[in-house]
Amino acid sequence: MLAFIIQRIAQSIFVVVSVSLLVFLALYAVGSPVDMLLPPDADEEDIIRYSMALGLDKPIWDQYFIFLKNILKGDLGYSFFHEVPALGLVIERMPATLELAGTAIFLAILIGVPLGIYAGLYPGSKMSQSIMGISIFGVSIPNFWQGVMLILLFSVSLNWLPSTGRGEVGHFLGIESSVFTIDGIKHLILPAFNLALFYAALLLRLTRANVMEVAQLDYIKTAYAKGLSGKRVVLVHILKNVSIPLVTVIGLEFGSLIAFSVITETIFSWPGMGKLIIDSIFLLDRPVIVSYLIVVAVLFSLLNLTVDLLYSLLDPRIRVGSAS
Amino acid sequence: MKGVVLKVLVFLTAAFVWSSANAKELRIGVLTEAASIDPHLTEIASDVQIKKTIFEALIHSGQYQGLEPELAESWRVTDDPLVWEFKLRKGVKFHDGSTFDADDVAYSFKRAPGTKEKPTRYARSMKSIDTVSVVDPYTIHIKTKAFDPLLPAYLTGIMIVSSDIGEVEPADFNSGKATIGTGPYKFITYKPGEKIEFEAFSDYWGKKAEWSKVTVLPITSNPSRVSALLSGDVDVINAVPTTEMERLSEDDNIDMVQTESNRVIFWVPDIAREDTPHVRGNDGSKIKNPMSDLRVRQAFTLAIDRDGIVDDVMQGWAVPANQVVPEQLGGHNPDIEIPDYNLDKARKLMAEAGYADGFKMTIHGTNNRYINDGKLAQAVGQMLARLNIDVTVETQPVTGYYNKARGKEMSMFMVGWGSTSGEASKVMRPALTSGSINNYGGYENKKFNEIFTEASQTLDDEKRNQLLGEAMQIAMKEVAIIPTHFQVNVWASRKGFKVIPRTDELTLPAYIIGSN
Repeated sequence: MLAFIIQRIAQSIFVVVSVSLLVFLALYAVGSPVDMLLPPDADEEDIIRYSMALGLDKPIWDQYFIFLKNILKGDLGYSFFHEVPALGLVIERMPATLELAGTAIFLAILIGVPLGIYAGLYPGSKMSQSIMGISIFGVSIPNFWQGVMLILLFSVSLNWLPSTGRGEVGHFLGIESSVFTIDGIKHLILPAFNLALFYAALLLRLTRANVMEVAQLDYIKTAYAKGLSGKRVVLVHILKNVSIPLVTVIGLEFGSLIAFSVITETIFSWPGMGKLIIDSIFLLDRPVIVSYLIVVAVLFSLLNLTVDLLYSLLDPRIRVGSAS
Repeated sequence: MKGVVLKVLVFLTAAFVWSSANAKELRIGVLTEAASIDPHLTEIASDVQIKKTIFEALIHSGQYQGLEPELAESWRVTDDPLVWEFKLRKGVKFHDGSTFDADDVAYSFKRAPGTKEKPTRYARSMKSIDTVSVVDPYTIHIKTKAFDPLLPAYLTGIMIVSSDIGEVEPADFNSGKATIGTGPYKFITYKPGEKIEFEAFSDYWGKKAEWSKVTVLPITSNPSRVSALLSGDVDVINAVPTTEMERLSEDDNIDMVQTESNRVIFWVPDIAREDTPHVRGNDGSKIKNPMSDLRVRQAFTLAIDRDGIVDDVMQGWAVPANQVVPEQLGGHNPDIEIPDYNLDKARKLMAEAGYADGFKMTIHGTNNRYINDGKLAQAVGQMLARLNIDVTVETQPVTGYYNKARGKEMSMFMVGWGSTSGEASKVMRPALTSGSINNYGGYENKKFNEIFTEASQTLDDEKRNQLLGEAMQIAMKEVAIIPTHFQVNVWASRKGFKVIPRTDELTLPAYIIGSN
């Protein structure tokens, strides 16, 4: 078990080092951030002086080794653009993104799994067919357009929910989040829903397919024949067996929710990491981009670890770390 | 007893009047978020509008960027032409209650440019300053390295902080620790990506703040910003997208105001080089750079239909241009005409130059920096194609774009610059004078350089601006650059809020007033 965790950590370090090298080379190829920082009428002297101040006059390899040396000291550098510690900028934005992605995945499970079970158990019914029909929209509507439509309907026309920003944050058990205040929840509903819809539809379709498959199997028939209640058959025998692919997908989805929340964050002006990283890429703000990648790599590793541990809980036949 | 009752009554009435008079809140949705609250970090409009709310400069730049006294009541050149004297305003309080004086000015001028090893982005606009000396608590002498008539215009950007803050980093301004200014609004909080909040400063020396509380929300997405205004989540938005203007102007609850921007959009043809990278003959062979021929450039400017661009690309929200500043700004020359679209004449000129059958050319533009810039590049490409030129249009994000421009990797490309100093030399110096690395086309004219140099040594504003206009006319006769339009800054507000539009694109709470 311990060996397994150490192996995972080693993998993450490898990923971070290679990705940071790629980022260094790619940004170097695009151009100097100094041109983004100084106004377009800056003269040669300004550019040279400012490049030197940021250490950008050194060869790219030197810059990379200085970066590696500093990272061992836990120093990820200052943002070129904001001139504050880069890691701090990313960490500061993380709760908003996690809160949005967490709420979205919760909504997606809440909507997708029960409907998927229903559609899988009664695939021929009218209700199931309409659920499946609607889910097509869920997976095919562009996220951007869907967000704007949600705002037009619920904010502009009906005036029920705020269209922009994060609400008041509350504190509970030392955690700071906007889900603890009414205002915060009001602000969270639309963006979380917008982010959740695609994944809800995806989960729904996946759950349905798995339920249909499992429901055909002999042991389910046996269970019914033995006179077990439908509720018990569905909740214990079917759900437990479809949950392994579901947990895998939910785990992966949570990762991509964090990574792809940027569209939703932009439309709803949600102050998360996604917007920060996009802006930083446009500004060639290398320290922030690298810090973000490190934070995300750590998050993904933790997530994968959790998924692997959940497997062994759900299916005693799987033992973490035994075989690969 | 009677006295007490009276006192309580007076107090209650005062409290009531006070609360109702101050219960005015303003929420502004802006396109771009401020990068920092540190007043000496960047010079971009999205940052400057935040700083100018909290801090003040010696001199204020007004609605059309005219100079107005702010923390300096008056200024003049002393007998030594290198030394400027500034008389400071008395009785000005900082937000922490301390009194403003010359030491604060000296401290701010020391902090703003940074050090030689670690220059700030401000160092550039303070380059002409040699020393700043305190004469008495309300008099400052600024010595320049060379005679610099434009010093006052550049001082409008240098914010005065309290000398009591000591050595501070940008993070100390973001947290509020060092955010002590003399402006009409006090800083409350900065939540990156989310909002910046201010409250009225009751001891402000000038006109009392109109709003008791101001919140600035960054709303990057255009449809979202408009929706936030329509749903009442914000009261005012800046940078109204051209696609939404018609819809908004039909809404009775929404007011729109506009003014010409100091930002001119122009095209830079490669003039000086024999070889230019993105031009080829029709058979794909290397040819001599056609744009070094004046007739070709004249044909280009005649073939570009500026009215068409304004109407179709900008939906009417732009002003055709053929020089670098609009009429509100210094250095505008009313004698420079905007060429009428004339395709026949343009084709004739091309034929005279020997390019009746055109050539192959790639033109470049940005697609995320200026209003509708990608569409503009496409439109200009189509217009040039009417001269039998086989045009390819390449657009890209502004990231890396100016690197390419300075590296002379493009042949004909779009640029958009603002005259933040409120007069034409801000753009003319880098774009047109010899030896500037931002004179991308390599334009060189002795007469132009002479007049420009004379202008930059002229103290009298009127005279200087006239000379700048003269120089501009020379450059435009030779089609050194091809301006297409001035952007128009558009704000939209809900009923009860009136925006006073500024040419410098800033959205300042002091320029938003209540109306009923």
